[in-house]
Amino acid sequence: MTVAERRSDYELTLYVNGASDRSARAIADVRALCDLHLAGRHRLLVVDVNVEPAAFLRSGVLAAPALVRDHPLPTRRLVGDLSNAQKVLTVLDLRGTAVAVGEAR
Amino acid sequence: MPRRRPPLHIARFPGDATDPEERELGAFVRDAYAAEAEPRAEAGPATPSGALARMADSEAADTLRAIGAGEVDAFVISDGHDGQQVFTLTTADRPYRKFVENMRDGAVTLSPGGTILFANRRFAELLALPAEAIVGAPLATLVAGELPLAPAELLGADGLGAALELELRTSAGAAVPVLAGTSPLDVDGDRLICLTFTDLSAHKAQEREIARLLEAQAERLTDLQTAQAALTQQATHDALTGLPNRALLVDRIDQSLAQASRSGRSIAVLFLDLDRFKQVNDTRGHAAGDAVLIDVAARLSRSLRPMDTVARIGGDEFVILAPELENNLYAFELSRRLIDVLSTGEGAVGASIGVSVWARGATTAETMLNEADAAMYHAKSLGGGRTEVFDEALGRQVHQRFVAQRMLEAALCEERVLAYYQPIVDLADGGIAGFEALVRITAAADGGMVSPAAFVPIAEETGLIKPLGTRVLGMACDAAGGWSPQAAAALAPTVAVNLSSRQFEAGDLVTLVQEALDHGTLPPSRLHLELTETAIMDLRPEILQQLGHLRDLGVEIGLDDFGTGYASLTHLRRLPLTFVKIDRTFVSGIGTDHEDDRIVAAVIDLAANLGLRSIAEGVETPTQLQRLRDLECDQAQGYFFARPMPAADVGATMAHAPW
Repeated sequence: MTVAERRSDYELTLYVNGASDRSARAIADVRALCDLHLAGRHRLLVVDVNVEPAAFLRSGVLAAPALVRDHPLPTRRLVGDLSNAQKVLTVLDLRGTAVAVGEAR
Repeated sequence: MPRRRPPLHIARFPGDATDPEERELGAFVRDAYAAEAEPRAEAGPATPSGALARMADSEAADTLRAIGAGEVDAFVISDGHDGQQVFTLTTADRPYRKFVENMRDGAVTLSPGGTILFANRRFAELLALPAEAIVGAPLATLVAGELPLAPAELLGADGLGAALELELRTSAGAAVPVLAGTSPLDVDGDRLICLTFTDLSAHKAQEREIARLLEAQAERLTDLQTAQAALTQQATHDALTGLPNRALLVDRIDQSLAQASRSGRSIAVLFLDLDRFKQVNDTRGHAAGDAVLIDVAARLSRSLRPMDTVARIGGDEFVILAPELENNLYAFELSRRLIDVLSTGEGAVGASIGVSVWARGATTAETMLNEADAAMYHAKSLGGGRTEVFDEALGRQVHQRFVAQRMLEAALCEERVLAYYQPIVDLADGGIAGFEALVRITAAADGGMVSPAAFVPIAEETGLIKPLGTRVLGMACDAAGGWSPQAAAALAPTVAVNLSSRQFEAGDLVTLVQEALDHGTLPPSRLHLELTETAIMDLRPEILQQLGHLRDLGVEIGLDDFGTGYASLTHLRRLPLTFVKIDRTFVSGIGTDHEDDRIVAAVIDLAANLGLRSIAEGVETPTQLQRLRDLECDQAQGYFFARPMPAADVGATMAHAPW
């Protein structure tokens, strides 16, 4: 993952394990959080570790589900349960007031 | 900044890791925190270890917590070399995961390198650790002591699984015994190891309890054996002196006899009886008596050879078994030595010994004991303090005594005891003053009479004189109660019954006499009891007392066989007597033997002066009768008047008087 293009305030990657319940829940949780708090200010990439293990290994996280803030630096990571929005926002420091550039859907 | 890459572990784990690798990892994590400020390396593949290195401690801890809490379903794991790979839990696993999570046994999945990838709740409970503290830790760090096998070897030689006993170490440091079962789990070409842990604590506790019970039982068994040994000791030894008892002695004699038959060496049995023990017991009490016995036992034991046995077989009776004798002289030397040992020093009681020496041929312990006993009796009768040896003549005596005793017992049992009566004539008027009751026994076979001389001494020796005397006393009182005066003016005849010294021994004589009188109609004044001089020889207080009580009943008491024993004037004065009987040996000489004549005259005179009635025994001729009348003897009896007769003839005899 590079930081060449900055089309969003926050660039996030969600690593999940295929189509498991846990993965589905993690994806739902994260999307709900983004809609609510980061609308128009972020880009979210979902990576299936089974499909792209090399990307997962490079990510620096040790387990999935995990949400990684790739931009801005420094990188921040949260592994495990992502249903607690406040915790996610705090740990990944997503409460800045940067100008929205665009949105990836 | 070049950084050495440590071997990959999925997690930092808690506890005091002693494994150098683990320490290295801990240090690495701490370094990583310090390196956080460094710019991120853009080049080269990031590695999980690099990721750890770039993590703040809080992030690493958070990650581990999430893993431990089961919030994740994909991991980065070491491939056992330098590389890494992704390990995922598939959806298909979940039902099993739930099942495993709720198992009663601990369940763990290990990476090929031995790191715990998964642990169920039960396993966490076993270790009293939170799950997040377990996942990521090498199994080896949770085992008390060393993990006996390398992780791959846990699957057994065939790689299909095995079982082994381990001890897990809890967070509190306690060891939990477990049975670990392993099975392989192949995931994406990797062979993982699944382990189940069955808690053996209860089982081990049971094993310990069983061991404790077994030990307790062994202890009880030991106690039982001790008790049994004590019982055996009790059964074979005398409690007071600790010496062997009769049972053990007989056994040893039998063994020695068997040995003697083979070796040809002789055996002697010494029967030892203390001479003055009864006096000690009577005058100084049982405690003093016991002390004497213990002292005697010690003295005897000191005087013997190691192979000799001394046993206590009765109150003051000891037996010494001397086996392995080259010749019999040793038995006599030993005997003399033992008497010396018991006759010197303070509290010496003296002893008599009878010796039985093994005569070649079949014999038994009982025979030797009986022989030695008989010889001891003989030594006693010769005055004590000496040794006698059993021989043939003594053997015959013993045999006769034995036969006579059996005969007497049978006679008593079968009511073949009779009283015969011999008239006592009043020399002043020739009338019958009374009768002397004499014990008779009819032979079992033909109803003929057994000579009193054949059984009275035996009865005295054996103590059978007591029941015999009581029987005669009863018959005499009953019979005499029915006798009437010969003429209107005369008194009814008296009846005289002989008493043995043995009858005083039990202390119930006065009661027996009272009962005999109460049974019939005989007034006490018409019952005369005759004592021999030997019976009252030592004027023992208990005998004097009983005589006093008898006299108080109204019974008359006289001295029998006067002149043959040891009675002195003192006896005549101190005893409550009313008559003396002059022995037949003096009476037979009167009128012919000058000396006898003078003795009889003196006795009659003496009796008169002491206010005692004189009665002459054994009168057989008119000359003797005349002389007795001349000497003013009061009464007389003998064949001249009448022989002893059955009760049925008494009436006719009374009709025949006077003489």
